[in-house]
Amino acid sequence: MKKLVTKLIVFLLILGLIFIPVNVIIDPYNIFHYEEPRNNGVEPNKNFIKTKYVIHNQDKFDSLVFGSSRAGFFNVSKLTDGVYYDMASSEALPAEHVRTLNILIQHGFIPKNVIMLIDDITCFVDPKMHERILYRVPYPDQDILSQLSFYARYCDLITTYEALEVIKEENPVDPDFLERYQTTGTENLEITSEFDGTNAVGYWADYYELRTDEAISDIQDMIDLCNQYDIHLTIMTNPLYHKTYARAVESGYLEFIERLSETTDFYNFSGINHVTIEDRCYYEASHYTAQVSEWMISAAFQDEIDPVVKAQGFGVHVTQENREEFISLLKEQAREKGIRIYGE
Amino acid sequence: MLFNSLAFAFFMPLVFFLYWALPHKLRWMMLLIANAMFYMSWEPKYLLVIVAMTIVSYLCARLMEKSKNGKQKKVILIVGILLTLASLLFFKYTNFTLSSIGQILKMCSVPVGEYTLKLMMPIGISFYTFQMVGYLADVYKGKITAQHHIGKYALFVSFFPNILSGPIERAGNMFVQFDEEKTFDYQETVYGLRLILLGFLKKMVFADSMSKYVDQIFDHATQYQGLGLIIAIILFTFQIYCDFSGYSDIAIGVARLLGIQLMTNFKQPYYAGSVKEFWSRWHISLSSWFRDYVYIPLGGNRVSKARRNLNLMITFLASGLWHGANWTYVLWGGIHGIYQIVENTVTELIHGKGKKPSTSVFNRLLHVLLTFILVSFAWMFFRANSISDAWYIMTHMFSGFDWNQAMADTTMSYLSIAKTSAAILFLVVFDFFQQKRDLLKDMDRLKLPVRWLIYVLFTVIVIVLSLHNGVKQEFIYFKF
Repeated sequence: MKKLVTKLIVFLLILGLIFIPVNVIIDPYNIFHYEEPRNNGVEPNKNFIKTKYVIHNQDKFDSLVFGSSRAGFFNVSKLTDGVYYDMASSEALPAEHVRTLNILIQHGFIPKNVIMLIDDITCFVDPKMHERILYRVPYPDQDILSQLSFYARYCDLITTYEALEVIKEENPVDPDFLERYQTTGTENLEITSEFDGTNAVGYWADYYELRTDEAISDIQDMIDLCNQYDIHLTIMTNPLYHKTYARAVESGYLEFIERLSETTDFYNFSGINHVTIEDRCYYEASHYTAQVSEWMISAAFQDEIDPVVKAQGFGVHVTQENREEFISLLKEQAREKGIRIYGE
Repeated sequence: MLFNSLAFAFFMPLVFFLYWALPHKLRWMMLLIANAMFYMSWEPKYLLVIVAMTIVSYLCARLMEKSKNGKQKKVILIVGILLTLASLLFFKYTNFTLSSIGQILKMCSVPVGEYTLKLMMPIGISFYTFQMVGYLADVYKGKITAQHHIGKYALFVSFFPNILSGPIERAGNMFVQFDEEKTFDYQETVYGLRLILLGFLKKMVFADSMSKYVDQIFDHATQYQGLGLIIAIILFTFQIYCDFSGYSDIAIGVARLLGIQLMTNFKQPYYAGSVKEFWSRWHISLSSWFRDYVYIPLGGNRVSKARRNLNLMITFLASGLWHGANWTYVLWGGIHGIYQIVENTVTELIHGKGKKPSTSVFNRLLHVLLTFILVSFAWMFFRANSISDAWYIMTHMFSGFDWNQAMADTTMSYLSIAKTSAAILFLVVFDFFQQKRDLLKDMDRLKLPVRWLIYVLFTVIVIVLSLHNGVKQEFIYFKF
C-alpha cells in the first residue's frame, strides 16, 4: 500500500506540474488575476473576477450595479447616493445577480444600494447556457467540490494554447484599464461612438428563447433578497437600440415588460424614442454610450429629463398606478412603427 | 456521481483507503454505505425503490429455499420475478405503453389525447432488476443457495461500480467474493487503475469526440443524404463501442481496486466473424443473461427449428426492448434476431452439404467485414430518433457520394477526420492484439519510464480533451 500511495503522489505531482503552472500563468480569462487582471485581448470572466474583487475589497464600495455588458457603460461616478461598483459582465442575468449578491452577503458584504439593469437578454437567455462558456461561468459555491470544479475548467490546455494566439495579437491601447477595474468596474467611458446604423440589424442570438416566467421569478428573487437585507433596489430597463428593440418586441419583450410591471416598480428606458433611434447614442446595435447612462441616472435619481423624451417612455417610473397606461404607450409606439407585437 | 465527475475523484480514493484499512468483517458494511451514498448522489428518493425491491427479492429467495414443494417454489419464483420486474415495467415502460396505445387508437381514427405520466426512471433500474431476477432464478434452479445475510445481498444488488451500467453480475460470482477475506494486492490494484485509464480514454476521448458528429447527423437525419449518413453510422458504431466498453472497463477497474472481479463485458466484438459470435463478445453480461434466463427456459436449441427461431426472435426483441422504451430499439433487436435466424439457416445448409468452414485468413477477414457491416446497419436503427428517421436513412444513405458535402454535413474538418481516424485505428490495433494477449498485463514487461510515460500521456490526453470538450472555446475581443 505504501508503494502505491508513494507512486500515486508522484503521479499527481507530475500532472499538477503539467496543468497548473501553465494555466495559472497564462490565465486567459484572468480568474487567477482578479486583483490585477491583464488586458490581454480575451474577454475575462468578469462575473467571477468582479465578485472576487469586491469580496476582497469590501471597504472600497457600498453599492453595486448589476447587468449585462450593456451596463458596463453605466457611468457609476454620476451616482451620488453611494460608492458604486459596476458588476456588469457578459450577458449576465438576474439569476446570476441573485447568486452573486448571495455570495457577497455570505462573505459579509451587504451593499447599501443595488441597481439592476435588465433588458431583452434577461427574458431570452437561459443562465444554464453560461455554465459551459468560460467567460461567463458564474462564481462557484463555497464547497470545495464546486470550487475545484470551477478552477478545473480553466485548466484546459487547448483553450489556453488557442488563447495565446489572441494574446499575442493583442496590442493594448487602454492604459486606464486596470484603474477602471479597481475603482468603478466600468468599461472605457471615453470611447466616442462612430456607429452608423443604416445597414445595421437588430442584435439577436440564435439561442434566444422567450422565458418570461423564469426571468420574472429571478427578478422576484432579487427583490426578496434585497428586502431581506434592507438593500435599496432600483430596477431599470436598458434603452435598446430601436432595431434591437423591434426584434425583441416581435419575440415577446413586451410580454416580459408587462409581467415586470405587474411584479414591481421600475424605471423604463426601453421603447422607441429620441434616444433609442439615435445612432450616436450607441456603439453598435447592442451597447449604449456612457452619455445615455448619464441621462438614465438623471431621470431616475434627479428627475431631470427632457419632457419630450419622457413622454415617449424614456425615464418613466412605472408603478402600479401608471403601468397599464405605460404598456399601452409601448404597444401603441410599436404598432405605429409597424412592429409586429408577439402574441397579437 | 458519474465516474468522470470530480465528486467521484474524491469519493473513490476515500472508499478505497477506508476499505483496505478496515478489517474484513466490517468491509461489507462500509461498502454498503458507500453504495447508498453513490446512489443517493443521483436522486435520494429512488433509494427507496431499490431498498423495497431488495427486500422483496431477498424474502422470495428465502421462501423458495424453505419451500419443500416444487409447485409452491415455482409460484414464489413467478411472484418474485413479477414483483421485481413490476418496478422496471412501471418506470421504464408505462409512458411507452400509453403512447403506443394512443398511436394505435389514432391510427384507428379514435380521437385520443396525449396521456403520459411524469416519471423519472431510477438510475440503474434495468441493471439491478436483472441481477435480482437472475438471483431468484439461480436460487430456484438450485445453482446457488439463498443469501441469508441481507446486508451482503443488498451489497450485491447495489454494488456501486456496476449499478449504473453493468456488467450485470451473477449472485454466485459476487457472494463468494464478498465472503472471501482479501488482502491488498498491489498488482491487482495497478491492473484496475490501468483498466480505468483505458476506459476513460475510450469513453471521454474517443466516444465523446465522435458523438458531436454523430448527433449532428442523427438529430437532423432528414436534412442529409448519402455519404454523410454512412459516415455517421460508422462513427456511431465505434462511438457506442467506446462508450459501452469504456464504461465497463472503468466499472471493472473500480471493482478490482476493491479486490472484486466483475465479469468481462466486451471481447473485441468487431472482430467477430458472425452475428452469433458478435453476441458472444458484445455486452456479454447482458447477452448471457438473456441466454440463461430467457432463451434456454424457452427451450433454447433443444426444440424444433421453427420453435428455436421463434425463441431467438423473442429473446432479441426482449433484448431490444430492454435497451429502451422505443420502437427503434425493438426493431434493432428484431433485426439481430433475423440475422441470427438467417445465419443459422445458411450455416446449416452449408454444413448439411458436408462443406467444412474455411479457415483461411481471407475468409475470416471477409466474415469479420460482413459482420461489421450488418452490425453497423443495425446500429442505425438503435441510434435513429424514430422509425421514420431510420426509414429515411435507410432509403437515402446510398444516394449521393459527394465527399465535400459529407464533410460539410458532419461538420468535420480534415484535422477532426485525422483525429477520429487515429482513434479508430488505435482501437482496431489494440483490439487485434488484445484478442490473443492481455495488453494491460503485458505492460508489466515495459521499463518503468516507458510505463510512466504511457500513464502520464494518456491521463493528460483524457483530462485535456474532456476539459476541452466541456467548454465553448469562444473568444470575444476586448472591444469595449
